[in-house]
Amino acid sequence: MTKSSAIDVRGGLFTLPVLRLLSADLDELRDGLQGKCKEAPAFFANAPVVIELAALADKADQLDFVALKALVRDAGMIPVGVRDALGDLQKSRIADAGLAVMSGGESRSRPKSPEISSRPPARVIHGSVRSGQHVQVDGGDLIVLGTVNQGAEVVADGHIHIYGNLRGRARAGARGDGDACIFALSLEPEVVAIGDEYLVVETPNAALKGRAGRVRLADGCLMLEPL
Amino acid sequence: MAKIVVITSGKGGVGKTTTSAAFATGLAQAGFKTVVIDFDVGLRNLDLVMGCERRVVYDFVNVINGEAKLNQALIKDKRVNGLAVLPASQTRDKDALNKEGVRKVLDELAESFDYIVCDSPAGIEVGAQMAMYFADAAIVVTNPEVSSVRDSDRMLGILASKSRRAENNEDPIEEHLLLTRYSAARVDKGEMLSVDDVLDILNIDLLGVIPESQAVLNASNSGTPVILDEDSDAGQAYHDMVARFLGEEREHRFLTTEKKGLLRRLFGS
Repeated sequence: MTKSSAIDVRGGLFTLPVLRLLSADLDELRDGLQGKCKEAPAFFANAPVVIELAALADKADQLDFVALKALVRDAGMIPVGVRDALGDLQKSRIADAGLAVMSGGESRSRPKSPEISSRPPARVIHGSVRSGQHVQVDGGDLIVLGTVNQGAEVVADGHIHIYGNLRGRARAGARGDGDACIFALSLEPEVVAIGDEYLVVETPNAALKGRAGRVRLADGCLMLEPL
Repeated sequence: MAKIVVITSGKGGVGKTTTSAAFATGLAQAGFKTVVIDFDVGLRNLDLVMGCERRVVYDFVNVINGEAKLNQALIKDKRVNGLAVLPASQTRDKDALNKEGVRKVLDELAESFDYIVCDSPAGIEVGAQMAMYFADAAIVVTNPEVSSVRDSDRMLGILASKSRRAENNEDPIEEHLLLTRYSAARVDKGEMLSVDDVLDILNIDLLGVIPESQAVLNASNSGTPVILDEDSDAGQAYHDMVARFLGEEREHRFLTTEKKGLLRRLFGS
């Protein structure tokens, strides 16, 4: 900052429309784009847009990005980048076409610790989870309004709240979130797990029986403690 | 419209058939036209407990396959009016049952009976699933020991997810618990789970507690539903259970050793 410069670099956040490609066929894409532009010509005129490949996955390998770029330009928009590209091949072809490879897509599919705002809503089970039943929640928290009996299994990517006894198996933070916890009105589990750590409870601790408790991960160690 | 009640448990040997016979007899005694169906194809026992084994000509599978009319297979009870038995086949296996066939038979029975009692086989395979699929109410028979309680818990999970009512998103099956072979003396000694222990795990309505009793074995051996043995503790407990099922409020008996002594003194039995 000592020398005055012709350029000052700053960060900026922009909201850009995202074109989500559902087909890898250029003719279909052209028809689709023209249809959209007819609906709101003013909105799309000279609008910078980001092209999303998430729905195509491997099919994007065959996509001609030079032709795609021309096609979007013909429709009156300015393509600035492509997101959710899979693999180096796709990325190099996108770069060759003069488009930016935008990050966010690939890392989002396996988040280490997803933002609270991006989590799906919690799933609520009205009643007990009985022996032999298995409840799995992808992405969010699990709330059980009843007991989780012996031989039953509950799994959630987020926290697990049990308004009853935990007598079966419970696994919170199933995608590796070590901050997830298991809460229950009485902790008498067979097996508990958080992230990749698990604990087989051969002899339930009598001090935890009949009291609200929590299971959490502390320094790689699973802790069962009363609240 | 007839009410379909399944007597189920998961585990074998807990008293499903004894209960089916006593419960159906009790409903008929209360004035309801009742039929009890043996779903234990290949291991039929209900006819023995009901004392009609020598009158079986056609069976449930014959009716499903269209080899006999329902009226030819139904056996009318000679002791209680309005009670009939539909026996299982002994020479076939559970694969002879299919949903469509069972539904047809139940629909036809529903035209002339108030209650259809389904005696489920043990296990959670096709026979047990056929017995519970069409049920409106379930009586889960449980012994006060851990493996029986766990199997009942499993069965309750299946009732909540694999029945016709669950699949059509209708009101769930009414769930009732019947504890059988209960010995208050052994509970006191800590050798058996208590009523509270079992209710704590299963957490459903307790319909009754049937005490462990020599009368049950005697009744099975003589082909008389134990509910007809009015002097026995088990017979009285089944009477209470039927009354509760029909909506009457009755205090639970035979739960503690002290209480049993007191009742004995009061009633002089």
